[in-house]
Amino acid sequence: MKKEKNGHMLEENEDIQYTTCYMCACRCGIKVTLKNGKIRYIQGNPAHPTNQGVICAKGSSGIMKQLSPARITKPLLRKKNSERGEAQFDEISWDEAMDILVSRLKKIRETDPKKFAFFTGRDQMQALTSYFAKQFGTPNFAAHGGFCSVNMATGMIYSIGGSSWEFGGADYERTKYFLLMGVAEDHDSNPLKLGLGRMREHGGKVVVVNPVRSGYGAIADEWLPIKPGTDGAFILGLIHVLLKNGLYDRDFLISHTNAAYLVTLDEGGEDEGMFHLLHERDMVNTQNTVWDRKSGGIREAHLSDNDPALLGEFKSGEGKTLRPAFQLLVERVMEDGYLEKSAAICGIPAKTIERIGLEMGITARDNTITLPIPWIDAWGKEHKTTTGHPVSIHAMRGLAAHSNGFQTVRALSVLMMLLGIIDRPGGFRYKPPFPRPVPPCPKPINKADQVKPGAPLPAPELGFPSMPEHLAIDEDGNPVRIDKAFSWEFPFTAHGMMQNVITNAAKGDPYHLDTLMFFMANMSWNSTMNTSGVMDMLRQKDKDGNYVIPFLAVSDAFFSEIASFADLVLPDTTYLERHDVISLLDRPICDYSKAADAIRHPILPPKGGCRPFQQTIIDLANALGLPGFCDESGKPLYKTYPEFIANWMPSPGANVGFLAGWRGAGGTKHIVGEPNPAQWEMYIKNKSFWEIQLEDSIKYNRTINQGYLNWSQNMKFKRDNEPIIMHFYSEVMQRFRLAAKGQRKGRQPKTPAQKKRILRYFDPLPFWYEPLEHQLADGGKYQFHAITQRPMPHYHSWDSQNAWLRQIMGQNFLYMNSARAGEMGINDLDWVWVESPWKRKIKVQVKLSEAVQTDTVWTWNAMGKYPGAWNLDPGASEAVKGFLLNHLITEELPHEAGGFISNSDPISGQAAWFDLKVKISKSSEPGLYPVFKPIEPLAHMEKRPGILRYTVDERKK
Amino acid sequence: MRPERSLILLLVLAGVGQGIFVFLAVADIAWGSYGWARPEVIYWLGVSSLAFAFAGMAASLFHLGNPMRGWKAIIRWQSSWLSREAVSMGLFSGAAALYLLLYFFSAPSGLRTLVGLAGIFAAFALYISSAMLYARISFVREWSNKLTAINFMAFGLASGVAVSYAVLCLLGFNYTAVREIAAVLAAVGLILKAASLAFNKTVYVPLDIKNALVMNEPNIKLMSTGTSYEHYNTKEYSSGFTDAQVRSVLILSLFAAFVLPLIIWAVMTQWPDTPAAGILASLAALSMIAGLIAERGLFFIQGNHLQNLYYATFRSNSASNPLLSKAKKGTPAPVK
Amino acid sequence: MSQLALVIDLNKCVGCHACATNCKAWNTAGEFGPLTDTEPYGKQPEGVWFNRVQTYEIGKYPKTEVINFPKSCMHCKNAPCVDVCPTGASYKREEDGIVLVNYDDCIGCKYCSWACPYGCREFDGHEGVMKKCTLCVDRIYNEDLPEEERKPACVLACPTRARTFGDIDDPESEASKAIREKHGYRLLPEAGAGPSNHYLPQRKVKVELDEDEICVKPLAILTIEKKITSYREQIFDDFMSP
Ligand SMILES: Nc1nc2c(c(=O)[nH]1)N[C@H]1C(S)=C(S)[C@@H](COP(=O)(O)OP(=O)(O)OC[C@H]3O[C@@H](n4cnc5c(=O)[nH]c(N)nc54)[C@H](O)[C@@H]3O)O[C@H]1N2
Ligand SMILES: Nc1nc2c(c(=O)[nH]1)N[C@H]1C(S)=C(S)[C@@H](COP(=O)(O)OP(=O)(O)OC[C@H]3O[C@@H](n4cnc5c(=O)[nH]c(N)nc54)[C@H](O)[C@@H]3O)O[C@H]1N2
Ligand code: SF4
Ligand code: SF4
Ligand code: SF4
Ligand code: SF4
Ligand code: SF4
Ligand SMILES: [Mo]
Repeated sequence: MKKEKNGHMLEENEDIQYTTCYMCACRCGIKVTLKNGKIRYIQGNPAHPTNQGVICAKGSSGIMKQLSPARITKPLLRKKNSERGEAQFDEISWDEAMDILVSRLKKIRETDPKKFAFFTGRDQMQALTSYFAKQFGTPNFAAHGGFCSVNMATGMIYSIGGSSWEFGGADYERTKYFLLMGVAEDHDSNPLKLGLGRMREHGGKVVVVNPVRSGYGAIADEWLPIKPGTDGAFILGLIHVLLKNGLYDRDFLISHTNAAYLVTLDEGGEDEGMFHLLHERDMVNTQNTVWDRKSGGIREAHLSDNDPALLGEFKSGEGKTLRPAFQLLVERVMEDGYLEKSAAICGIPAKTIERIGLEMGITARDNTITLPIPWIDAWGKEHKTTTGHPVSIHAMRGLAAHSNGFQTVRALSVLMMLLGIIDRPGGFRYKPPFPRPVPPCPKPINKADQVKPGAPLPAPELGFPSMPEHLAIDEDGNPVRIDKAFSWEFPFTAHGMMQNVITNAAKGDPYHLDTLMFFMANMSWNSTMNTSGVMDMLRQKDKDGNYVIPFLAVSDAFFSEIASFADLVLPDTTYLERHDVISLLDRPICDYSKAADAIRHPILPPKGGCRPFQQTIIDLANALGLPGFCDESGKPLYKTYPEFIANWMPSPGANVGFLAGWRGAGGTKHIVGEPNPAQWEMYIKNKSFWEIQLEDSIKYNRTINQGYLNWSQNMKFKRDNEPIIMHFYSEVMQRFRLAAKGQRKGRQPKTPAQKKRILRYFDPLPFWYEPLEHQLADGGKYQFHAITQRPMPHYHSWDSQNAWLRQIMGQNFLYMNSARAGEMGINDLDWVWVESPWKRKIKVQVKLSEAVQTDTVWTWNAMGKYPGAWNLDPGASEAVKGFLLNHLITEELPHEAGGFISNSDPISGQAAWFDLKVKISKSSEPGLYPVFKPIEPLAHMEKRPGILRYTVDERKK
Repeated sequence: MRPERSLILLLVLAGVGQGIFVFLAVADIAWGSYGWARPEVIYWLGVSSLAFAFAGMAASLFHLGNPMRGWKAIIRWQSSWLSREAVSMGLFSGAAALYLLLYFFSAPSGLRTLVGLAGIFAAFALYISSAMLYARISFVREWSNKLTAINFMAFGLASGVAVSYAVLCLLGFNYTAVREIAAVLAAVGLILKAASLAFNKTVYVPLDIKNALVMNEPNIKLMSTGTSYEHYNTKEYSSGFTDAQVRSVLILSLFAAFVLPLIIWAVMTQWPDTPAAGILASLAALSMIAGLIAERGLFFIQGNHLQNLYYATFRSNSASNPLLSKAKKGTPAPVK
Repeated sequence: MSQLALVIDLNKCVGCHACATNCKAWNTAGEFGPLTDTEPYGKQPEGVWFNRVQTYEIGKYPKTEVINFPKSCMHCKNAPCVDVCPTGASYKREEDGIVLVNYDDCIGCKYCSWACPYGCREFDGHEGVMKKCTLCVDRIYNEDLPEEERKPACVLACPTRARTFGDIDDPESEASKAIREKHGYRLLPEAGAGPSNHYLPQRKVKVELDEDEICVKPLAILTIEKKITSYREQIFDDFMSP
């Protein structure tokens, strides 16, 4: 007898379950058909806001992840006399594993909690992991953001209170002109693909700005092969064109941004470069000012009868010289020959920049969208309609992963403000809980003595500093954190600087660690810079023969490179075997006009002895008696992770928690409501996600939309309902500059180098500077930029264990411009030496291409594998032909003050992956370099099958 | 195309078997009354015909993914040349076996003649269906021409007569006439092979990757086949041989299949009563078989399938054909 | 008569391989599976796929175009692969034109694959039978599936929605409309197989800027840019306001 479920007729031995994909971090909803307890089929969940039924290559291959013989299913302890990285382990029980870890952590917590560092990768449970670290009391927590795309996040969040990444995107339905900059795949993979498909449907123009034309570039109407690291110059060129031709949205600038605010120009004072204020400067009631053209005088900003000037110079009552912020930008970009200068930097002809600028500006101007949606702004003014311009821009790591990325993304934000294309129909749209204040409220710990034995941190590990007082430094101005995030060198490190952890810990700079724990991050391989060097650091011993990083614990589900380096391996489940939340506290699945979150729940039993890491966190917290997890007496409050999720609240009575749906008794409340013990079941019943649609009137202009601001305050997304004014001009940055100049009371940088750095890079208006590595590398010798792309069918290093995905791609090449290679006598499939200025080299195979900028070479990211890792044949092409560019990338640059400094953006701490410059020479000998000694498969892993015939069914006759 | 060993063996060995039978039956019918049809001659020729045919058939089973179901191949004889090949193969081996039986059970000669004629008919049907199987693949121009069928017949007959001659010599009957027939057939074979090589030079399929994608743009380059590895459609349609290897195969095949046997037979002409006739004639026959195996290999190797357009391995004209690199562009011969 | 087929829009295809893997997932576990993989974790992994996505570059830098090109069985009208099959294992369905292989009858002679001009058949060496795209015949009529999901797996999966499925003999079908309106074409018509799948070409959008649309009035700004003493008349501030 067949039974009906969700529109399917199922046999007795069949079932349908909905959960959330985790073949990448895009968080699509999936529908899994099971037969005889095995997976029959994984497809997109049509009802899901993120993917609307579609699914990508990885998501479709989930079956093979489950089947991988590289699964680790037993806790492992490095064999007594074996060396790190040799992957020689003893299988131990969970009890032993927990004992080892708990006893170490207990000791650390009681003495010096910062000696425990906990860094996580592409996980989606940072709300939990950071909470654990905070309650433990260590400041040394961060997730992958710092080495990922933090420039994209902070550059925009410090400008407009929201960002692309998964936090916002383009209004693809309405956009008529779309600029896609530096994107190969994006975090928002399926939404972006859906959007591009839709754009192609209604005929908007797609322009791709990228040194490489690949996947998305294929369907672009125009490709602009830009030189890496120069987008800032290109964007400022566009800004020049818009300003020169008056193609900007004056009303938007005045109502939504601080472009009209008057900036004090008088030098030397505490207010130099700060906004002129009508009343006393205090944090709550600052009254910014504009020059009212109607009355011919200075007035408070945003008064409804103002007619603010954007240009000009004015005198204040006290005789201060004031100019609107806009005027300052005009002065910056309207110099003679500005466009030609930009063109020379970015390699895109001035004529083209001009044409693109005009196309964008004119498309915006002449295609204004008016929707019959009335709304009220934050100052009470009623608007009968909602308007917007159908131009949008989406950018990602191509802009972010450079050491000038923060300012580039600032430039991008300003460009978007000029066009008036932020959170309006046709433009960039926020996803709740964005927009957030510029910058958002959470501030990191800011004093060394906040880290106390046996106590939780009083503030989060991560946050958004808006003044030097928010930096995590001690009294001497030295970093509190192991990764030196939130230091004078890297003030806006909102996501931490995971890329520095191993190097700093190995050097003991700023201090040594005791226990380092990684979760879901392949830090000895593809997610680190200087891979070979970092492997050596992990193996480095002090004079007593002890490892300088004494203990390395790793949670992994697969026999990865980092697992092979661990002292203790905690085998994790896969996404189909565990509970998870994709929470509003973290990276939710919200859509432009929906608030939403989602769960995972186990639809298959955990394989072997693996255990969900979430549960391990709860168990650790309980064993350590951490407050928040345990009551005052140290008695655990929650036994299991699902229990914790359903009941936990940030403070008693807060009535918000990890999951927003079906709160309150009976599950009748949303977002705010008491815990509901039946919450999980209600999610499962609703196909594992929850959503609420915003009303039309609060979908747009949300930074100044009264209705939205009130709603978001009620929903506790925001502390207050104050309007969010976009930072066309960044006073926040100027504050740091003033500190560096010694014109501001409070914390000031101590060393000349620190001062110089802040002065140079903390410009309140966007500008372009040469990426740091380019400044140092000999451009004559190292002529090529070397960058990477995400391959669509692979997720970082995960998918080489996947039998199907590795067939699609199992080797990467170094792609070179054909003509350029021709000049150098390099042919298709030749082997070449690639050397970086940091005395590192690799030998790899070349493929010639017409789709790459002449000064650029590139390869697919994370294809190369350590021989034997992932339970692949040590002779697999991933190991003997595939390679990592990471060996060449340096994690540190020489510091002008002597010593070394992280190769990262001086503002945000973003790892500068794409600043790499290389020299290329033909090799007479084929063959990969470097080659490593293979590791053996773990004893308990399944043998690699010679033939794979996956099915769940008998064939019908 | 990938030179498939089992198919090469099938075509060459069964071809020999058919040739022997045709020779045997014709000789029996035409010359039988002249005392030619001695039991040991009929026996050994018949047995070798069947042996070769069965060896070929056995080899062909290795080609099949499911040899146990091989019999099903006869089902679609109305439309499939492969099916017709199977049917004719059955008919041929049946007729040949019956022919032998009839001889040894001394059936009326009229009946034997009838079966002999049927066997000859089946042998030619088999040559033709084997050949048409290839000739009908219009996506391989080197195959889809009239010479394919003619060559299959010519080479089969030549090798059949060459082997028959060797068998006769081994039995002590060094018939000059048979040697002469063999030589004529070999010479014809050589000429036909030359003709087909010449034809291949002119093969020009005016298609390239542009047509494959239906995009009229110059400079199209394949960047990815969709996998980092080989797969059925990249392996089945390419020979995997280098140009140099192909050239040596060509020389070897021509020399061994035709030139060397002709030389041996010429020597034998000068040395009519040699006691080594059996050995020499066998050498000639073996050389021819080896040469034809190489020739058949070449037939596959030279076959350039249209689907290769998608993998950028298609040679649109002779100028880019490594075998024929010095030839000039032939007349366009569009695929049907 | 009807002829079901796929219509693939090259103007949308980003080469993500979702259609390929989702096809493999649906088919390997079901009626037409398994789709064997050999040496899956070894040196030369190889498997049966009904659908593969190739990539081509066109032109010379910087005027380069990139084409992602998915290819699966075209379900040809004259299906040359069917005629040559000696066993009748390969057949074309009268009712909807789908070309299928009956694995139980296939002897694995590979002849059909030679007769396919597109290279759209895949041999399963382990099983010894020829396999190919089934047009998801076990989905499209499957009444156990919700109606809106009775489509090929690759069509459901495609994240850019570049794939349409329908009856190309029915002028009113979505597929026929797409072919008509977006200049659908077929591969290698010269080969005479009469493929049913169609491709929609890349279509480039251009923004034509008229001189009149480019307002050059505000150039005057350059004069105020260096020295500013007091408030000046705005010249282009209001330009964009609706
Ligand atoms: N399939 C798949 N999806 C993924 C991932 C994956 O591994 N696989 N990873 C996820 C993660 S962690 C991330 S961070 C996102 C990243 O998503 P993307 O931002 O799309 O990441 P990348 O592939 O690094 O793409 C960077 C692009 O920028 C280009 N580029 C490099 N330098 C410059 C430059 O100076 N200017 C411009 N304009 N372009 C430049 C490169 O050519 C490349 O196309 O993807 C996520 N999604
Ligand atoms: N050259 C170069 N390097 C780069 C980049 C680049 O563009 N170019 N991109 C950088 C960026 S943006 C990022 S985000 C990083 C990504 O780098 P990582 O975050 O290190 O990503 P992965 O390689 O996916 O490694 C994640 C680890 O998690 C494990 N894992 C997978 N699933 C699970 C699970 O369910 N549970 C547990 N516990 N573990 C699991 C995997 O086995 C693997 O060991 O790479 C960075 N590295
Ligand atoms: S984009 Fe990521 S989350 Fe979505 S289906 Fe693909 S792998 Fe899964
Ligand atoms: S799924 Fe769609 S976009 Fe992706 S490769 Fe296939 S047709 Fe192209
Ligand atoms: S391989 Fe199978 S389907 Fe193809 S022709 Fe032979 S028997 Fe027919
Ligand atoms: S594409 Fe090939 S396999 Fe498919 S019907 Fe046409 S000829 Fe047959
Ligand atoms: S129609 Fe079905 S079988 Fe054919 S390619 Fe698409 S998913 Fe695969
Ligand atoms: Mo990332």
